[in-house]
Amino acid sequence: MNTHDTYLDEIRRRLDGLTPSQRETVLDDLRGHLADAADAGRSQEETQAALGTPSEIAQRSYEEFGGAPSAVDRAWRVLLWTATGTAVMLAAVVAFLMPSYQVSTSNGPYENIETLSLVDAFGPGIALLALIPAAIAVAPLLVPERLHAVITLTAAIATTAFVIIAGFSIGGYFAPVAMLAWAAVITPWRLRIAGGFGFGWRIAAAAVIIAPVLVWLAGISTGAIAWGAVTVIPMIISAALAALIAMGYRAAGWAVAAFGAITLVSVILNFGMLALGVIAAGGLLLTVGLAHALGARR
Amino acid sequence: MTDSTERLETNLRRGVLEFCVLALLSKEERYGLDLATDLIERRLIASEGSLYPLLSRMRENGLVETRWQPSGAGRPRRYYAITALGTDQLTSFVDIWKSIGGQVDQLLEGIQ
Repeated sequence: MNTHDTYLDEIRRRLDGLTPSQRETVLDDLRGHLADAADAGRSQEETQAALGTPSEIAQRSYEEFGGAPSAVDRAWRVLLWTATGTAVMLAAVVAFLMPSYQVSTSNGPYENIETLSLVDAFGPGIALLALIPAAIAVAPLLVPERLHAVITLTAAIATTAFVIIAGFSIGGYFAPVAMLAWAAVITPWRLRIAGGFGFGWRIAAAAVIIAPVLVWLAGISTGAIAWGAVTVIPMIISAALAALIAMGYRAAGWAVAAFGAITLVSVILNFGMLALGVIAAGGLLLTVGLAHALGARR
Repeated sequence: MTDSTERLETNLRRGVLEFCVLALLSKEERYGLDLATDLIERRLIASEGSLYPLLSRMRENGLVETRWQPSGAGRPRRYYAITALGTDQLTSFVDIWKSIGGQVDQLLEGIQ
C-alpha cells in the first residue's frame, strides 16, 4: 500500500459520520487532486502536506455537510455520558434513598424499628464510595483523544470489577453502568469495522427484548398469568420492537432505550424487594436500545 | 497575525469562498489542482485541503458538476464546471454583495 492509499483510508475512516455518497464524493475529489499533483511532478509528501492532515480535511467536511460529528464519536460519547448519569443516579439511590438498615431502639416497653439509609448508618463517606462507578465512567471522556480507546476498555473492566467485588453489598446495583461501559467499547468498534451492527448482533439484541415475552407466554400456557389486554399489549409491543431491531431500524432502539430509562427512574420512586432485578432489567434494555439506536445502519 | 484576526479572516472568507469558486468557474472550467493553486495565490483558502470538502458539497447541491477532459499529460483530467443552478446563485450573490459591500465600505470610510 503506498502512502496515498494510507492517507485516503485515514480520511475515509474519519468521515464515517457522513453518508456514503458524501464520503465518496469527497474521496473522489481528493483522488483527482492527488493524480493532478502527481502529473505536475509533486512528491506524495509535498501533496499531502499542502492538502492538510486527514483530521483537518475531515473537520472541514463536517463543517460543509452540516457539522455532524462522526457516528463513532457520537455513540461513544452518548453511551459514556449515559453511563455516568446512570451511575450518579444509582449512587444517590443506594446511598441516600434506599432503606438498607433496620435499627431497633427500645423505648420503655415498646420497641421502635427504624429504617436507615447507608448515609444515615455510616455517614457521608459512604456516598463517595457509591460514586466510584460514576468517576470511572466519566474518566474516558476527560482524557486526551489518543487514550480514548484504552481508557474506555479499562473503564468497562473496572466497572465490571466493582459490580463483582462489591457484589455482596452495593455492587449489584451498578450493573447498568458496567453494561453501558461495555456498550461504549463495542458500539464504536462495530461502527468502525462494519459501519454498524450486523445481523448477528441485532438478533442478539432482539432476543434480549423478546425474552420477557417468552416468559409471559410460558406463564400464560401454564395458567399462571391470565390472558388480557394488560398482558397481551406489552407482549405485542415488545415483539414488534424486537422485530424492528432485528431489521435494523434505528427508532426502535430509541423506544427500547426510553423504556429502559423509565424503568430505572421508577426504581427511585418505588424500591421494593425486586429493586436489584428491576435495575438490571432496566439497565439492560437501556443499554441494548441505546447501542442499537447509535449503531444502526439505517 | 494574531489568533483572533486569523479567526476573523477565516470566518469572513468561509461565507464568500463558495461564490468565489462559482465566479472562477463561470469564466472557464478548471481542474482541482489549478483551482486550489489559484485560490491559495489569492489568499482565499489557507490550505488546498479545505477546497475539496467545499467542492464536494457544492457538487451535492448541484452548483457545480464534474466532467473528464483530455489533458496534456495523456491521462484524462476531472474538470469542474458551473451548472445553471450555480449561475443563478452567483447572480443572486452579486446583487447581495453589491448592496452589503457598498454599505460596509460606506460605514468603514475614514476608519483606520
